[in-house]
Amino acid sequence: MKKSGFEFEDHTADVQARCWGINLEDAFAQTAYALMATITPDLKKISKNVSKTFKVTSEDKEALLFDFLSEFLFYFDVEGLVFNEINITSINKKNDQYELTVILLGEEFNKEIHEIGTEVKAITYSFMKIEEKDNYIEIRIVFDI
Amino acid sequence: MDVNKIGKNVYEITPTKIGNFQMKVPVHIYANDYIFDKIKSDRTLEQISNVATLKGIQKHAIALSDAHQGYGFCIGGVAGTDAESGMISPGGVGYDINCGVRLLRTSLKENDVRKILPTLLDAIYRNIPSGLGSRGKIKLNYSQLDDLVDNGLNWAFDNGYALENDLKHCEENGFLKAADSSLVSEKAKQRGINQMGSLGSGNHFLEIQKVDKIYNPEIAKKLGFYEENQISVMIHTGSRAYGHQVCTDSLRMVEKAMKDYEINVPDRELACVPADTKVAQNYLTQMACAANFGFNNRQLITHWIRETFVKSFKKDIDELDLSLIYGVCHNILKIEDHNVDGTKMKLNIHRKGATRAFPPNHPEIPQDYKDIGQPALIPGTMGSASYLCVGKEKAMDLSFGSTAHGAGRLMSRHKADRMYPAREVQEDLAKKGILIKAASLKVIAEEAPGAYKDVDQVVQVSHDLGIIEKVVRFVPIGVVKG
Repeated sequence: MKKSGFEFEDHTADVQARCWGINLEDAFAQTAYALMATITPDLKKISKNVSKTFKVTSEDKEALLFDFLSEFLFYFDVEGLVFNEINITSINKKNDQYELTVILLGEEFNKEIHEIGTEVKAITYSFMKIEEKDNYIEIRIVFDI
Repeated sequence: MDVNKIGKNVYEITPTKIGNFQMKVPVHIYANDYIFDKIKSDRTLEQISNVATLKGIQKHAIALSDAHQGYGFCIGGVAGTDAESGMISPGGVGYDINCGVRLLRTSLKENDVRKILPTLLDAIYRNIPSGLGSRGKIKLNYSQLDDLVDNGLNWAFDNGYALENDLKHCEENGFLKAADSSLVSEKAKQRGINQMGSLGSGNHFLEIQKVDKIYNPEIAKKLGFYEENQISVMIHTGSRAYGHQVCTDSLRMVEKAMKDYEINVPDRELACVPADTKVAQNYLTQMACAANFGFNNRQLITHWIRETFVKSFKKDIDELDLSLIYGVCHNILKIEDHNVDGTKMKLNIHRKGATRAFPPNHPEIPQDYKDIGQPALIPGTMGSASYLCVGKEKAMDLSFGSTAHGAGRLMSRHKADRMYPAREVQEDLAKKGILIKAASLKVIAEEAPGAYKDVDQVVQVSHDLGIIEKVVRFVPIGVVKG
């Protein structure tokens, strides 16, 4: 198994992904790659012309993941952006809140260049699991499509 | 989990404890043996059992014959909670608020359409934005968008996109009055503003269909369907990213409020608060905005379908007809009167992938349909039938006036993609005389008819239970998929 990655699993109606990484930052980034790959399966076709950075603060890890990924849907619907470089610089616990900062590289989605996947309506908590394994973090997540 | 068959097409899960949570009512599953076997194969029963633990739930939690695993609630699920103290759950409506279906009737026959089907389908595909990231053709500013969601279909009517009859033949007359756009987030408005009048992707579709079979000629005649091969048009889409964001925002809002009310649920996606709280009312107001977005979205698409037919057939609208038979919502929450153990109660009816099917003489149905019952539309897949039914009295006893909303998926999109090569699906459809125009080959594979349950059986279960009566069966001849 690669140190980090994602794979899609069977779910009757929606998209379920299993994502893993060596630490929380890495595993979270993999969930974002899985989300991007649902929208446009071949991530290699995305150029790195646009850079975005944002910060999310939430009450626990699961909510942080939900809020973090929801931002990507906003960027896609509003600015048409897809990303193939997701660099989470930190996930910190401050007081009772989790805080994440990410830098993204990508470009505007173009049907002529990029592979057409499926519109994702929303991120869900359904069967969401963030698990610490022996030497890696595993996340299960379902996207509503 | 203790599941028993308690009658023809009825299975029951008796209330039990699920972890720390007690089911408050039984679950009823409406299915024949074939369908029950399919329903058992994923986590549908677990999900609907979780719903039965919600505070204030009344009578029974329902899984209809198209039920399958979703997120939080199962799809094909119905739950009614006490209108004041019972729970309101945004997840019980889902992200695609007011996703729904419309049926338009035409005066055309199959022969009229076959001649120009490829060009007609191309024209529809051009005129109605569809597919991944599809953006509507009309440009709205934010005050127009607010005006639209605050006024429902009255907006479309005032702006020349709707006929008077369209409002009459739409569930709620296409207007949920609780709407107040000032409560909707900037994010939802930003995500939605460019998507008004677009189909989206996934299972949403536009279909040109023909009458395949008439079961009840008398009711069919009242609805303007006279013979086989008469052409109709079906539209399936929802409230696009506007609704998706309203649900996302509301879920987070409700989740935070739950702590104040010390509410716990077996699945975080079932986040809920009592109806008589500010937070619940805030959700209902926002949900109404999203629902009104959905009504207008289907209306604009209807308008462009009419324009396309007029141009393509060089006939005017009076000659072509294209009147709206009915428009249903299948992801929505309504406050309705229902009979619970002999007492009339106001309930928060959550319909998630469920179609309202009110019987004759119900006050909520259009005047001209009072004697036949509310038309209920159950679409199938791009390779199978769709049904026009009418609600029957039994629906009020058995399913809070609800029926299935479609064939219901059977297989994950991922698996369908592996099992059904798109080209083969296209060829199979062509052999059946069905032409398809899709934004991508991937959607053709994922939406392959084999990935769904047999819609004929799904509808038959509701028919045999007396929830609905089958009136007309349609089959597609031209399909547009986003």
